[in-house]
Amino acid sequence: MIDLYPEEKIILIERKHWLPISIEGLSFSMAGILPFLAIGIADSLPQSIKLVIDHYRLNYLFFSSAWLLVIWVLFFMAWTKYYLDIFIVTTKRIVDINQISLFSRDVSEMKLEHIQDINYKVNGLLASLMKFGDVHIQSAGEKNEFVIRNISNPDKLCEAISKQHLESLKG
Amino acid sequence: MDISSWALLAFFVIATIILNYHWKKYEVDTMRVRATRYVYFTVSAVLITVSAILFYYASL
Repeated sequence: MIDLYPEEKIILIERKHWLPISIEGLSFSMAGILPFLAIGIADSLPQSIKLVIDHYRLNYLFFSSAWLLVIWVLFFMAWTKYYLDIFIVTTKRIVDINQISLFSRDVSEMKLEHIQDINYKVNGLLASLMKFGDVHIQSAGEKNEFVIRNISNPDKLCEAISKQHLESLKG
Repeated sequence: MDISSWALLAFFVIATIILNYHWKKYEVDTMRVRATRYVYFTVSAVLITVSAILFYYASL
């Protein structure tokens, strides 16, 4: 995933919260079962549509299963994007890998000793219940601020970064 | 029907190559990727088999 420096160790790997990908998965499953639902409710559909479905039943089923396969592949593309979008804390730096699309990645890193301020925000009832939020990290480097949105357990992440930051200053 | 089945197969093959490339190149958690790959290929195989059977009977 990343090339580590000598004597560098990965402390923590955090991903975005699972809620957005679950909602996406739910939308994909609804889109996938829609053609099959049409067969189930064929009796209540207009006569012309019902006749087409009855007449081309096998063709219709073939296209429905093909559609399900396409949806299945698209869901895994979305999941891969979610899976590869990560935030890594090591003993020397923090790395934010933002997977924009399958062939578009934005990788930024910040040395721990450059961190000036770190805080997190949990906005709203859902975020509080599901434990996700945004982490803001200010630095003295070229890129002034790191914002990691919708990350799981922002409190633990802040704690881990602060701890590593203190250790890097001691060392 | 013929064109659509070939298009579907081509889409699946290309998408699978792309996904596999990403899973291999950037994998972080080997166990999770292995499980994902297993689920992906198993369900895909079932869906392709069902589609192929339906295609065969529909074109008779």
